[in-house]
Amino acid sequence: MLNLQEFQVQLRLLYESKVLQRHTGTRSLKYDQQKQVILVQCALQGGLTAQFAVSYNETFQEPQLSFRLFDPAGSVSFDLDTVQWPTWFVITLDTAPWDPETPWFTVGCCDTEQVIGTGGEYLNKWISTYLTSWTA
Amino acid sequence: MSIRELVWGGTINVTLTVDQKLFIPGVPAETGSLNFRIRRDSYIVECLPRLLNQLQRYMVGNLADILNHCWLECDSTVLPWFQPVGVQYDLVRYDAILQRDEFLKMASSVDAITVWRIKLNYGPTLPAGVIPLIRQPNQIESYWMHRWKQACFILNGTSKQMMSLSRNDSKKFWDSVRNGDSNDFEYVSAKIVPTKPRMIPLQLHDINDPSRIHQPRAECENSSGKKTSLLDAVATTLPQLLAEKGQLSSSTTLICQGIIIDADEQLERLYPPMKSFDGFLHVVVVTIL
Repeated sequence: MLNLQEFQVQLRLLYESKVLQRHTGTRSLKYDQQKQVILVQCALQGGLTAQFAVSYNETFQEPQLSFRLFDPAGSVSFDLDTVQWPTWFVITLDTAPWDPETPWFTVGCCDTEQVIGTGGEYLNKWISTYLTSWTA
Repeated sequence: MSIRELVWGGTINVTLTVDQKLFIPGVPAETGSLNFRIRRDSYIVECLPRLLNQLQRYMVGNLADILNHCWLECDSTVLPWFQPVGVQYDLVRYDAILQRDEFLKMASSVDAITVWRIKLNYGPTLPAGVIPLIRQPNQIESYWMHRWKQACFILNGTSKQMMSLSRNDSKKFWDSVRNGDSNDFEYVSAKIVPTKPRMIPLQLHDINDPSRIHQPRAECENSSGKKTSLLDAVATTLPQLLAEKGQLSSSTTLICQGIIIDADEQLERLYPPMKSFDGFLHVVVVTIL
């Protein structure tokens, strides 16, 4: 768990560390400082592309992973079955507070602390578990 | 009847007109008009498959495809299915009344019988803000569970109570919503909602900006131990609605479950009888501009 200010600091540090930019799965990256969101475009199995968003969930006070899927032709896809997601992901189709007009798949974050443990560089540990470990 | 029973049993009369594009050519337009009554405390899409099944012999296309590409509208306002029916009704109903400057007249009327006229549209592209129905009916249940996990976390500071429900209780909980069974709903929700909540899961829906939902941090007591009122929560989120001396402006009215609520009501007292089936207390903020 981390508060909003800590998240904002760690999000900037994550961007500046270039961990995501150097990740082999990353195709492009955008850091939206106004919305406090990092958007990462990654190639997935079966020619699919995912746009991942790293944002803040104010209810759970945890980082929030959301994503949209695109088929090889570039159209939005809602077919979750074509990707092998980590088995512990609980995925819900929802809208995001920072983008209320677009449906995003969101990964449940109520048990984040149990998944990644406490302390240390929280957002770095989180990004490794929730994103870079399985999209490489 | 208790307030809780009245809230749970609240219904709305609906006339649903299905997009003519979905019918075989030559089918009379009135065939696509359905009258039914729906619980305020439900998701409107829950009843759609059953309703459309009644019309299927007159329709083109299969049900899954229709559900995937449809959305609901009232007077050209898109109705997001993932908000409780009652909240959407109060938002569009009071908006229409405000436009006709009939708010006060309506608020004092006790005999009005109203029918909510909505339209089911179909098209290749959904309007902004609409979540497509891709996995019926599991998607709706999963969305509702996701809401309750948030509500549970706000109430208790953890989602453990929700996550540790037995399979039987989880099923009973969702079935209670689908079947309108208040006994089962109260039985399971009592395992999640504490007698002394930490905070209240509150959402404020501003009639003048309905796409933006406010979710203030609504603690039951402030730092000096004073019980927090609905007005306190509104004041932190929508301070522009306050008049002098910190009271709610006379042009603003707060509606919860279709009922005008006193802004000074304590959140802790308001939540148990007025909470919605998704675990949140939804308050529609009506302001005459």
